[in-house]
Amino acid sequence: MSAQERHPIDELFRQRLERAEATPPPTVWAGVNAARAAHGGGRAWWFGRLLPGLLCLLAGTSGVLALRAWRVALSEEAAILRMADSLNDPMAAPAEWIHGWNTAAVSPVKADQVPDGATLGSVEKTKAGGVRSYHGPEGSDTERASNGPGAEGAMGPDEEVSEPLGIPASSKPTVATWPTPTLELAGPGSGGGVASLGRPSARGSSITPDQEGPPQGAIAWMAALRPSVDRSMTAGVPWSAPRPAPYVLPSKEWWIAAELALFDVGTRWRGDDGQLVEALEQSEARTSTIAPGIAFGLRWHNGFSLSLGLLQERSERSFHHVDRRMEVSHEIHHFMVTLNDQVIWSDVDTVTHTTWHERVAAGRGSQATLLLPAEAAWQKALGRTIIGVGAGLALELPIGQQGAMLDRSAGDGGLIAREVGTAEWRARQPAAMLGSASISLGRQINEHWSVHAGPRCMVALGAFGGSNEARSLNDRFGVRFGITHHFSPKRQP
Amino acid sequence: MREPTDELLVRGCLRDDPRSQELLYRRHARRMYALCLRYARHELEAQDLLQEGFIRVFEKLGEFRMEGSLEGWIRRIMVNTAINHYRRKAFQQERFGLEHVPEMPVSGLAVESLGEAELLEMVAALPDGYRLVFNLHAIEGYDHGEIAAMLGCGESTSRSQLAKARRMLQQRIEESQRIHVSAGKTSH
Repeated sequence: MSAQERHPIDELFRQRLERAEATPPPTVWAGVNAARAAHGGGRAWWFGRLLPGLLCLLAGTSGVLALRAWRVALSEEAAILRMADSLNDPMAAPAEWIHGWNTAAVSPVKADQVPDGATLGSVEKTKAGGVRSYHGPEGSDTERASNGPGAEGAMGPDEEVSEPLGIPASSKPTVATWPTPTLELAGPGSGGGVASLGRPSARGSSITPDQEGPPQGAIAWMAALRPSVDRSMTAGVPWSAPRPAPYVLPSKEWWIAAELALFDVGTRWRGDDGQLVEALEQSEARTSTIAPGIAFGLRWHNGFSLSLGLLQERSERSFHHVDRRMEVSHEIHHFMVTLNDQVIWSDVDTVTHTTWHERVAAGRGSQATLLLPAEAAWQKALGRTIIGVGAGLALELPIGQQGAMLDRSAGDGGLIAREVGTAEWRARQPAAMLGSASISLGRQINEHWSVHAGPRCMVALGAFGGSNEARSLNDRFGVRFGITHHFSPKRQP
Repeated sequence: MREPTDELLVRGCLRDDPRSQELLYRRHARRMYALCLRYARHELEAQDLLQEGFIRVFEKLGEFRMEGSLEGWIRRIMVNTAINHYRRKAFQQERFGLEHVPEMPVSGLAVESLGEAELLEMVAALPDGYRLVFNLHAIEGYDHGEIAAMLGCGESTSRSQLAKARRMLQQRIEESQRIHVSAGKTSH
């Protein structure tokens, strides 16, 4: 529609009012904020951001702990298998488990320990059971067919190397088979000063029972080699490894837990000032709080548990109230018709004026609270899953408050938003006794750690003191997450 | 310091950044409050409309596609808020006995002598239905078909309400003109 087609009245108002501006009072922004908080702005924050984060954290922690537990289980299983294997394979077992084996006497040969005139060459094994090339001291190459694995009691070329070291063949262990080790001994004549110890030959006579040297290296060799040994060597070997003490089920255990509770807090108001109490009930929105804390307790074998906790909660409360007051005034009008000082008609009329006053009171206050729950619980373990129910009492102690609250105006007695001090806050939000109940679902990760989560409610039973005009009682409904460390019970031998 | 663009503000608000929310409010509140004053009967009602409108703006900000003007989008939400506000009330066709007032052209003197506040007062003094239709048609630029759809009434109703609103405003302007003229004569 063009300007020419517009009605002049329309055009007049459009020109003057379309881009007009006016400054709204600051209470509007406070009201927008308060209403947004009341309609779940705060709740959406933790439901939208914090809750997934917490779940991820719990899942991550559980995963790490479960992985560690799995690794521990694997290593324990591997240790048991090794121990069982070592019964038939003393070469792979720790030295102290091998009965009658003097580990101090087991050592690799060193080049400087080679006596003068010893026939020393290098032995290179090309493949298991294949052809060995023997390089003699004079550089003469000799090829000999090795006996290969399974040739019991056979001697290879490296035996010839070891013989000059003065080790009688009878003092060596009877080696039936061996894998593919390599022993390179470089004597002074071949340009090397030190014997290089690669994968050693178990059959190589570098193991000299009477020589002194570091036994660990030899043990490491043996562990790496894991050759099969003649069963007759270990037959009847007594088991000398220390056996673990038998597990005795503990009668009770201590535990400590880190907890996080997410509460939806609603406030009930009590007091003598009915109008103020009603306004507080209607104007305050439910708030969402996050309460981190710790708990510790004692759990008996029958599943009964007693615990004490400490939670710190921080909450923000917003309110929005429209105070409506009606003002009634009366005016009396006298009407008289006079003629020559004589009243010929008179009338009295009463006019009643009714005026409604509306005042918006909006604001926000924050509060920090300590919660001290004492709870008795019963838990039932179904495999690694733990379910439990608990009930108890909790003490609610406000420790710090600031901001505005709805209060009576000193001037006209109406309701206004007013910044108040700590003493007035304490009078409105006194310490209180709460009744608590909870259900938990948990998972035992390993002997020491478990995680749990479940709903928890705390309902105010009564306040300690507080203002007679109006005092609050807070009810909490929410969920809690926790990770518990179970202290090791004493094991009896 | 450079002012953040509307797009930056919207993105900040979507992240629940309180500073962006306050900046967005402060940027548009003055103009939207004037709009609410046109639709409301008095200041308190205008404040309620403004508050309710901005709550809806923040709730629905995710639906803003950054294609058109943010101010236009907010204005539309404010108008809808005002319409819903009055739709909740029993919408009745008021009869004020103005049918006999003829439509006359408005004199230039009257236009110049009237300030924004006086014009706002005149609009605010209109009955709810007249005010709503007048604002939607004369200032927002909606045609009668759109107004009928928005208000859930017939086009003819919209037309008649607008005509009555115009007559009422014209009467008020003339009264105001007479007062101005008489005040001018008195001062001479």
